[in-house]
Amino acid sequence: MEPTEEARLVALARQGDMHAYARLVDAHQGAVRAFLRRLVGNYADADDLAQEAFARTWEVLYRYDGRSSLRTFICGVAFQYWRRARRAGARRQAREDAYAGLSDTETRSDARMAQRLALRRAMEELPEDQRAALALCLGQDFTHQEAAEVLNLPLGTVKSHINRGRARLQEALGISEKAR
Amino acid sequence: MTDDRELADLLGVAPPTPDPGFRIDVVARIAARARRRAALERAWRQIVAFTLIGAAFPIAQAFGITWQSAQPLALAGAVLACAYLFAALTIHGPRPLLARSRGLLRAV
Repeated sequence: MEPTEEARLVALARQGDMHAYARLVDAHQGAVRAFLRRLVGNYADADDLAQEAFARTWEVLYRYDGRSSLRTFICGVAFQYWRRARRAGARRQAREDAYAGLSDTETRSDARMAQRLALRRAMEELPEDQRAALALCLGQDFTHQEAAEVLNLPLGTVKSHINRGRARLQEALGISEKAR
Repeated sequence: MTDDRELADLLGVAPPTPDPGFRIDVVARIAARARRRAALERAWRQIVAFTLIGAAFPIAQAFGITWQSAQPLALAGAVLACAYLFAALTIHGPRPLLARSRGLLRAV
């Protein structure tokens, strides 16, 4: 979506135009859902969080100043929701059951499923910020600068989180730095 | 297997196209949250109003105000309350006669 068109829709949404906001939801749901799916692991929980984040964004849209992109703003809201839910432990059981999160991949090969499980376990062990930085930047959906804005961290810290996190994930898959 | 895109896809993928069902769920959640917030505000207003009404009598008694001495003030208060109720019903009620005027004022 063009930035001018996005700014126009944001202005309309701020005045209460739900159709404009629905278009913004369509434009950004892919990036936000992908981020949360990588972060949470369980697709159902991730989509639930994404919906809550979009609903909350509608309420706090007046706080969006346009200096960062809207999807960065929404991901920031989503990240806060995820952190709160994680600390409350409401979804802990569901997250710990790794197979539940893989229910949509039953038709895939065992080898790929094993890789996903190994990666998911490695992600679970990472610190919150590192995990979120990887979920944002691994798929090239977000730049390092955008991730720094979402997580409210310095750019250098985000880069370091990504390098270390990537190494941990590759280690979980049995890939060494030298092999690359 | 080593590139970031592969790792990202193993961790989770985005839906390939915007999902209309997701959008509808978001709109439904927004409406539900608005209803919840409105109900909460209404409940708080009622609690505050009834608490004030309930507290007024013992406070008046504590200050030694009798019904005889407070009668003119009570009558004035009752008239004001009736006027407020009438105005609120005229503006927000089931047949809001002044709703159009209020809309015009907001548009200015």
